[in-house]
Amino acid sequence: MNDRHADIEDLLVRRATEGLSADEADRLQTLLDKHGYAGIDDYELAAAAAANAFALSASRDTEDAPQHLKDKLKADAERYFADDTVVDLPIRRRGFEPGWAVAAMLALALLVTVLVDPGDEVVSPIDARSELLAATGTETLPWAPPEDPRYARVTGDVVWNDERQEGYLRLAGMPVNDPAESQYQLWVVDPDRDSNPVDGGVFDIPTGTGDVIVPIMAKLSVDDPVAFAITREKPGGVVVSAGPLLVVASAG
Amino acid sequence: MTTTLQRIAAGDQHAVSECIETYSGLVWSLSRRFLSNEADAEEAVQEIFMELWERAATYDPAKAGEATFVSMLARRRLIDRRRKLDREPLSEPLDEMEPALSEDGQRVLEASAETQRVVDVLKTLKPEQQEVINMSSWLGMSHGAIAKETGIPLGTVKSYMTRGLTKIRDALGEPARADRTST
Repeated sequence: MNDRHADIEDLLVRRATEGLSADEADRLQTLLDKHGYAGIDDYELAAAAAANAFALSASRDTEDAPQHLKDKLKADAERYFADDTVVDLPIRRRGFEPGWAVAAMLALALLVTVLVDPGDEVVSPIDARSELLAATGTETLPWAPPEDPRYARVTGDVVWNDERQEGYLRLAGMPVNDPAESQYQLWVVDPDRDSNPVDGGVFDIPTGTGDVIVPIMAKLSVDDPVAFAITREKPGGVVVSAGPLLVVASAG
Repeated sequence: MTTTLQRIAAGDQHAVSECIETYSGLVWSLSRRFLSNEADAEEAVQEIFMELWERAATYDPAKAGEATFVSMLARRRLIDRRRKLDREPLSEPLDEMEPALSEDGQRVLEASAETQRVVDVLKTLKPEQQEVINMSSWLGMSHGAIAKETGIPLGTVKSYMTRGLTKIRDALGEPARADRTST
């Protein structure tokens, strides 16, 4: 075995057993591109087969996966095989207050049109976002590359229109949350209005979602937002967040 | 014989439920061992099954048994997830952790000549080498953590791992192909 072959095998074994850093993965790819290797999955299959052998010997007192998890898997599968590649998530509010009237009405309108009323013209958040994009004064802010590695794959943007006080988040690659444990919360930063960010509502990312369009439900009017940020909070959200800011889109 | 994943790829909806019943215990069991947090483990199981649906059509019975393919996808994602979380998994002895194979899952593994062959290969290894493979493949521990836990030098851990997996890889080779379509 030559040195290159040995290097490749060493990296493949490590990939199969404890994973590779980004640098190591790049190095492996370079070596594979240059020298080739038959059976690049073989060590991963061997480790998996070993895991199954140990699983079998450990299964004396058989216990299944929790039923609620199986139910989730079946629901996920139903969604997946229903061929929905884009999911609209109506945002949920923590409650209704007079100042929220416009936003709440918009939320209800979206809920009704998307989920309840199949007979009338349906304006889903996807269509509403497209319409807003075409409107005068609409800005598009891409999400900055997140620093937290768990959110490193998040992409998308925020579209916002000051005059219409309307906006939408587009998110891809956002990790799934368990609403019983935590929910995502949007914050709108508008220094001209307040030093504290404005609550933009809470939302969930269910398993199996692709691109997600989330309507922004700013609790207060925002005149000139300079940034939008997402935090992960307790179910229902919080009044003031202690952070960290997981995903941020800012103007300029 | 058509496997469950091949039926899923062909659009058989019944095969989806069958797949969940058969493999959710195995995937759950792996996830609980690789990830110390139960919520993380559940989330990982959901992601793994989504990937399974996406990759059902890529399963090749000539390369490995179906259970091995499922475990490979699961381990790959769990390793990736654990690296991102930067956490070591639980390291309790196996007997102290809850087993988690469904009857269907256990039946599939018991009926798999491939798994039996790997069990036989593992028996030919020195006890400490078996332990290293166990801690890595089944418990999801890093090489460094295994060295620390067992007192075996890191270089020896790596050497045990490479030689053991090479033997198993060879056992998954040509003579095994006949039974693979049945698992």
